[in-house]
Amino acid sequence: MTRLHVNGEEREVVVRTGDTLARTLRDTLGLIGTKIGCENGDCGACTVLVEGIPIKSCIVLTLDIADRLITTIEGLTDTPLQRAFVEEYGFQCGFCTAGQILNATELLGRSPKPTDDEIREQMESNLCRCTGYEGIERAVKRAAGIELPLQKGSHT
Amino acid sequence: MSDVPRHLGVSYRRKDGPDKVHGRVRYTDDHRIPGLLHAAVKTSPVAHAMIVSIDTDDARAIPGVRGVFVGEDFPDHVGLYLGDKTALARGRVRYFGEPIAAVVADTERIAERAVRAIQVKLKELPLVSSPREALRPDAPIIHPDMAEYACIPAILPEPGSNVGHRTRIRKGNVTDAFAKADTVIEGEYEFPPGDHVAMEPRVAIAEVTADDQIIIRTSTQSPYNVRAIMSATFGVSPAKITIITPAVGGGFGGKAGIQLEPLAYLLSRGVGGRPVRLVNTREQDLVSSPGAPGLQSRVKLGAKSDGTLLAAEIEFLFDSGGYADYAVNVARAAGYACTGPYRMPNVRADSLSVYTNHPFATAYRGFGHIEMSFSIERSMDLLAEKLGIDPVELRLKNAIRPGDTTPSRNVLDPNTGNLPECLRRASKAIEWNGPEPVHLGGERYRAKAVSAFWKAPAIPTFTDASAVVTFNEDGSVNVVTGVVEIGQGIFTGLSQIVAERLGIHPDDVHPVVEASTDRSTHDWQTAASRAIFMAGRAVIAAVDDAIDQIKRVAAQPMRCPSEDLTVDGGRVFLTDDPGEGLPLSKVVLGYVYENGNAIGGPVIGRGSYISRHLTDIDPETGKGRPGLEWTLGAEGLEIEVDRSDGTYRVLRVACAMDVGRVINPQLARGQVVGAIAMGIGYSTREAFVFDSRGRVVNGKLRDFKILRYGEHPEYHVDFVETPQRDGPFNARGLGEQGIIGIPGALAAAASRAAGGQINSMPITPELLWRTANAAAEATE
Amino acid sequence: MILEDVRYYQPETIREAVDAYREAAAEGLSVHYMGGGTEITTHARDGKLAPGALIDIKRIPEANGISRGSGVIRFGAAVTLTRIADSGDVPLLSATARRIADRTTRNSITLGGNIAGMLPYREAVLAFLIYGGTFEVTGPEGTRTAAARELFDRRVRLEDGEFIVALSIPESASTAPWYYTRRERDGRVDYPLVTFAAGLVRDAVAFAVAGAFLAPIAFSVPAAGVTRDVVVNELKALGLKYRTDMRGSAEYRRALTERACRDALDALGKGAQ
Repeated sequence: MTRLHVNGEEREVVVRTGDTLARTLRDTLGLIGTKIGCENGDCGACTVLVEGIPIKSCIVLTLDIADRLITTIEGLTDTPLQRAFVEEYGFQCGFCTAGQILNATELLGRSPKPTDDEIREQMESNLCRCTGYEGIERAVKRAAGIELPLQKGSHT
Repeated sequence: MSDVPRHLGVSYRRKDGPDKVHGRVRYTDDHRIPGLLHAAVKTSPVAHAMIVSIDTDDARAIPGVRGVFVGEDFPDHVGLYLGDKTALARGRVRYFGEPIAAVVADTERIAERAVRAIQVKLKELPLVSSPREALRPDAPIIHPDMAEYACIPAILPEPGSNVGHRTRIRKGNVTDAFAKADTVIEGEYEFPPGDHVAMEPRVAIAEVTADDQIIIRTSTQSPYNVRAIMSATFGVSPAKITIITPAVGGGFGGKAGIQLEPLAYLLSRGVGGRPVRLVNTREQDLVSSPGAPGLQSRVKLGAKSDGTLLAAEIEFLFDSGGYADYAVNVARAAGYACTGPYRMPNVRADSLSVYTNHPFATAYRGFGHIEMSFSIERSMDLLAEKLGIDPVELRLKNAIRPGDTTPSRNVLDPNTGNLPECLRRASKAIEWNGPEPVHLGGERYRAKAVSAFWKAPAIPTFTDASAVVTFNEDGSVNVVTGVVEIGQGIFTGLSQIVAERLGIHPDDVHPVVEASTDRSTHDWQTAASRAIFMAGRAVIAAVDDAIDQIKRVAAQPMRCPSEDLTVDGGRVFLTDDPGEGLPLSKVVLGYVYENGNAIGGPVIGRGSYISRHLTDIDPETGKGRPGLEWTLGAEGLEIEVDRSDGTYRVLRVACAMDVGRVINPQLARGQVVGAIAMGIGYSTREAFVFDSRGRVVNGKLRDFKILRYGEHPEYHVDFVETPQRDGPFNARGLGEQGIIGIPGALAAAASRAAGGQINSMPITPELLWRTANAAAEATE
Repeated sequence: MILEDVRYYQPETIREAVDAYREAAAEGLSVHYMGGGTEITTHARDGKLAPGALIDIKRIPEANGISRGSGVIRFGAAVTLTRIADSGDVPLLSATARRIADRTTRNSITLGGNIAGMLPYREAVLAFLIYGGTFEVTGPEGTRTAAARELFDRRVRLEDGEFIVALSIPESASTAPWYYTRRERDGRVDYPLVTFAAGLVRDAVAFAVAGAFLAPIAFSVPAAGVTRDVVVNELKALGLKYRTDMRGSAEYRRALTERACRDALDALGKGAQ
């Protein structure tokens, strides 16, 4: 049995040495908010926080982080970022959303008023196919209390 | 009902917002099923080969393996339009990545291990690596049995060749018109196939109950279409098939039609009906499952010296890859839209779907119109250059208007949108000041371009949607449809439509999200930008039906004719004395008098919609009415290019689209902005790279890149609202269209900035560098 | 594909790590030292790698931390690229690290893993080649230090059972003039067409290039009288073949590389002539 610390809870689970964290979270712990989009470290849908740091859980072995604190999307409740993603239409299909939010959570913890360059360096880790990133950019900035540029066009 | 809309044109938050930001939405692969078995698929390592032998003995011997299957086990041909495909390759493989064998096992790990233990012997065949190659008289025939394939009447395969379908457009007299033209230009264009890259890989989980009920949970845009095709393919009553679709993680056309469902079903049947989970790896989702078609095209335009278009001669060769799937209908749609949104009195066009040994192609956002538009818009810019006319002026001059005819010769009715207005707005948004690039110093140049687009849905003539509304004790409403939430926010939009019609708040409208063919109402599919239009019409009809019932019931205790009543604000009341009325909660489940007597019973509103006045097109001339409503628009963009190394940045993109009526501005904008981003990726990077043996070398997300955060431009989105009178509250479809004009505009701006003509994609920095170098050498 | 089970070691000392290697190797297992594990997991899924045993070196104190002393800055091999990028101790190294993969992957990738991995880019080594850094390597035969330019010849030349514990750079590198550029086909989160680094090291200009050729290379030219032609000729004299792959042609890579030579000299104030 391996002890995992997930979202403030201790969980004893059977982990095989070849299991990646993404698989353990989904298949063993039922934390299906963590998505597998590529299982190759390329899309970021599986991003979770380990000791507060965002990592791609599909390319990390579960045993590697067994004694560390893991936060998945299920561990966040109604945070300013989550609300901002709703308010700014920062998602459409929602498949990448958990990873986006967890990644941005660390950015705002480390740099409460991030520059455009800092936001880019952080958020370019996560692919989104639906939004064209406009809503994601606005959601991160809104949660950081950064003044939002006016959307250009009619009906804004 | 109030005359001023209260819930239209309002950006309500998405109903699925809280669940999506908390990771609580369950997609297909998030449902846990007891006794689930796992499938894995062996795919072809080559592009074209005969299957000599498949040795599955070692795989079968692995403990935990419940079944190993090859093409010979599953002889049924499956096809959307043309039955050219089996669930696993039989006898021959036609593209790199094609499924050859499948394993069902207790765990995914065991299934993968068994797949690796399968030994396949292949004998490679000569490769067909482009549509033009495929059309050569001596080309290898990829489907020698084409004549025996079942086929729907609208699709015209040419057995003995590699042509899966040919649409002919013959309008006016092209020969005479070219003879009269002052200027004629010709262009050739091409790009390779690519992929949708929806973030959720396709997945299907199938089981067969003891009562022979086939149950498939699947990530699809098309539950009813899957059921229909499964029924036809396997000779099972549709009533014995249940397709269940929860939220879908992105579609873009790639989950329309039929995908993994037949194989998942066959595998389940092969292991005694136990539930079997078949999920694509990302690599399989890119290459094994179908993607976007490639294209080779030729366009010849003739015009008067003042820019008036006279004639077009057009050839589109769609690269459908190894199988036809949707590509045959994509070619058909591109055919009847072949001129782009321009008044063109004389047209001769052939639009072909051609088999090659590339990964096969299906519907992709825009459905043939991106490919068409790239060819036409590049040609329009070439013509403008040759005539010395401003390219925006040329487009304005020839912009199609009500009363003009399409290539299939149907007259555009007054519902047609206002393309000149869209062109003016897109130009203004990017501060269009002509095609001349601006030199920024060094080797850096900025340039702009504007394109125009149009699209009508490519749908069967009898495309339908339906809806049922029921009520709860508090007067709130449930809405049942057959549409699928693929990211577009359809249930928020439909709720606004219901709320507007019924006079309640959208928060009191509760659509059922999960589609299930045994409980939902029939719906063609969630594709072709149809959901808000067709399901929108259906829910309006359902609400109207419910209102009639509410009035009929309320009229009795209120002692009045039902026509004297109005339903609004959660009440039914006398139109001329609104104080006299009843809350809906007292009526919708039946009215109960003080003495206990009851009347009415639960109100159930039903609404149906079916497309109107559509016809198939004539196989010889293309005459007919295939397009329900045309969405028109224009896009403009600005790019900066460094000619010394080809690096570029798309600075800003504007889209102006005539959508009839905006239901939810932010949802509508989201569709357009997302489509623009997809269009930039499509133009600049999203293309398969093949080696000399037809193998995809960039078939991983590490190598097949889509647009990333920080590469997105500044967006400008304008909606023009010329009413679509037969649309729901005058709205028309808008989901796909934003992608269509991007490749043409991007290539034009990049050509101007680089100083030479770019007529192929992807437009990589290396291509820009080569173009700039060639142009510099030519002027030296 | 999911990884097959492996023997997984998490040694807390160098000694334990080397013992683990001996033990697993003696059983005939294919043994790999592991940093972040990002390449191992992806390559195993690909079928390019079938590890029998993994020895995770991240808990070994000597492989962790960034420290200064004896005129050098020492980077533990298990330090993540994010930490190196954010540290700024050696600006060229930080700049290089900041552009490898993407940030959340850099949160896992380690310095040693990037340099000793299977991928041909190994960009993190460039600064060590330019500034004459050293490798601290350990294995069954004990610990040794070696000059980066000697130990790294296209790849790290490790003996059987050895792993990198740390890398050092002379402290002067933290203030020396430097130049860095990187070009990609499809946006910056991608493998490089060319990663080009240069630095002024005493009386020479040192260059290191990844992506353009089959493996990273380094060379230097005297700073006095250096011109772009001198640099390009020196590069040509190495007789290396530019790479052609799905991302770009040899011709384009050559153009980008030669252009970077000029830009580097301009940036270092050496290309005026």
